[in-house]
Amino acid sequence: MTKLLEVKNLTICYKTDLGVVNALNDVSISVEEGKTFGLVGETGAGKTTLAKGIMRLTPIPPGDVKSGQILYNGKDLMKLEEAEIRKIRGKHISMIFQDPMTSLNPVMTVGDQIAEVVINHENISVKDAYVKTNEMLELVEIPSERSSEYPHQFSGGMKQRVIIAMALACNPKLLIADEPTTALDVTIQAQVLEMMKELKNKFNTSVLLITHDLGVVAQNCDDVAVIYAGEVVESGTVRDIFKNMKHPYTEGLFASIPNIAEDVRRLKPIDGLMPDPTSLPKGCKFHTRCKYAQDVCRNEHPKMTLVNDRHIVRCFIQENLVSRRDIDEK
Amino acid sequence: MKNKNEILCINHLKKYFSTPKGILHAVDDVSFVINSNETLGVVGESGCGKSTLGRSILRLNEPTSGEVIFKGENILQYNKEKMKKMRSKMQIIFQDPYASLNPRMTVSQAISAPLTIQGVYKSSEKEKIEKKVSEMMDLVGLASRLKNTYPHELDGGRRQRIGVARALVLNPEFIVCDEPVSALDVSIQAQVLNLMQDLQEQFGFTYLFITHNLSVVKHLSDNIVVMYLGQLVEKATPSQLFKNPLHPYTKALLSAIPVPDPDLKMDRVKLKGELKSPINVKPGCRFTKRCVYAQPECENKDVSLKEIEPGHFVACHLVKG
Repeated sequence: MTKLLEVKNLTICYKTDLGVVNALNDVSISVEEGKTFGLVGETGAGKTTLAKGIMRLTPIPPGDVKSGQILYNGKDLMKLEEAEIRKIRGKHISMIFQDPMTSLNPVMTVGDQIAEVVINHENISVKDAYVKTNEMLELVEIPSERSSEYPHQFSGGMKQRVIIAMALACNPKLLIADEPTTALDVTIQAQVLEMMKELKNKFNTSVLLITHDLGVVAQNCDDVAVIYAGEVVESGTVRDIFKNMKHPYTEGLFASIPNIAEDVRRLKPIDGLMPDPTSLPKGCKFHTRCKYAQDVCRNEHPKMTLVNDRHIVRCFIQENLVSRRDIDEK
Repeated sequence: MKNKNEILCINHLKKYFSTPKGILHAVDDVSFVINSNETLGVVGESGCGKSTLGRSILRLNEPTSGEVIFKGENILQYNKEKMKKMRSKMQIIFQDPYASLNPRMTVSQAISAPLTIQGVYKSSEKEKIEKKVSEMMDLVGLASRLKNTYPHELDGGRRQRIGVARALVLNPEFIVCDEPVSALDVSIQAQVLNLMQDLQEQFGFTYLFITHNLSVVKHLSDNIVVMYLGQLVEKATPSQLFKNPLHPYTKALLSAIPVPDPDLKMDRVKLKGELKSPINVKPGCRFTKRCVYAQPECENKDVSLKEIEPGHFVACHLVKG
């Protein structure tokens, strides 16, 4: 499988009055051609920072991209000039933002907004651009007559479909979807996700799907990375993560969600809160909430250890330096 | 059907809003009963009237008609003074912990406000108030050092705990929980849900739990009602509802939940279109336009809940008992 996108050792921080927020620390992921890669994490884990970092949309200042490479088809996006990256955005890599209510321009018709992308990136006449716009709208099941309407005339699910139409208008190789369905109801979420899946298969687009919903990941992704306090703690195929999870944080996430299929009397949440990103703990970032934590976890930083050729975990248990047995037996 | 455990009984409750476009039927002829120390889950999508239902029961918006019978008395006939007293027995936890706390009140002020408003303590009885506040903060798991902090200094999970403490401080019997965990991350959500379950066991609270999250409602509820455009379409126990959903809308809703297991593929019951507007509704089943099984009779004839098996009610022409 060829890697379409490879993020290597990306470190991004924000300099604020309250201190340096270490939003992303040494993150590496890779998205393969035609596959969907899921990025799971809670609020503040650094999911959106990563998405914006890949698109080179990190606000600088207060943001600061300290190090790392973003290889798209082997080309390092970090080294490109602003004018060159603008040719990539929307054409090769496009993005669906979280909130469909605020990511459309309220004073432009949806047709104009989609056509704008096409006119900017494709060498075609304005008339053809609008033909393409109408095609895209029909593709996401919105009647093309509505292209002259404004965003406020659409419902939330339809707005998100307009954004999908816009993101796919130039047939991008990679689609970054940042919590595309979080603001939507379940039945509408199912419609939107199904549509994304169909379009992905039709155009062979790769997708980086960012979400906090493990159900959405299970049903849509091929590979998954779990991100905690700006670090990837576990990654692998969807089956590795859902059927053979290794990291205590991943386990905690699964124990926190009420399961539709089983009856559980009590949930087993992860104790405590995510550490403050301005003063991350020494050692393993998760040790403050981990029931297996030992001295080594408090002092040393675990490295990524292979479980199998795809499945990697950042935990001392996997390095055989900490044992689960002592705790589980108690 | 009088049950001696019955604490709250809603009869034909209606709440209409008049808008420039016409009458909006937010809650339309809803009836149900909640037994003491039980949880009734209310599920439905945004705009179906769940929150309006919760608020109407507490008279936070005045219902248009119907009865809310709390411990044998219709509280809709109470005057202002009597209602104010009654509120100490009926409380609400709001959805958004970022918007439901006064930003200019400290944690301790927010929790103690109901005490002085209801006249449990005079505002001069500082020591007693302080003691009660510390007790409540302990109960919901807030460190006492946070007593003098302001909401903006706290994260969502802690803020929602303030909301819980504030609702519980008067020792109520019935609590409306309006999406109390929707704004929280999963690991924090589980902490708050466990807390609410523990408190219910400890103090025997009765909850009306409003949510759009079906797995949460299954986890917590003794009975579940499904709402669609202001009306109840199905009422059942969690096992009945999840094993044998009868209403086409419930089926669609259940099949739309993404299951966190890559080996279980969803067999989705598709819905046509989106939620219709509840303004100037026409007679007949409100779900007809989106229902794949719709028949001519659905368009014309109103439907009401009928019992199909013991405790399992559904409002659909096509389900025959």
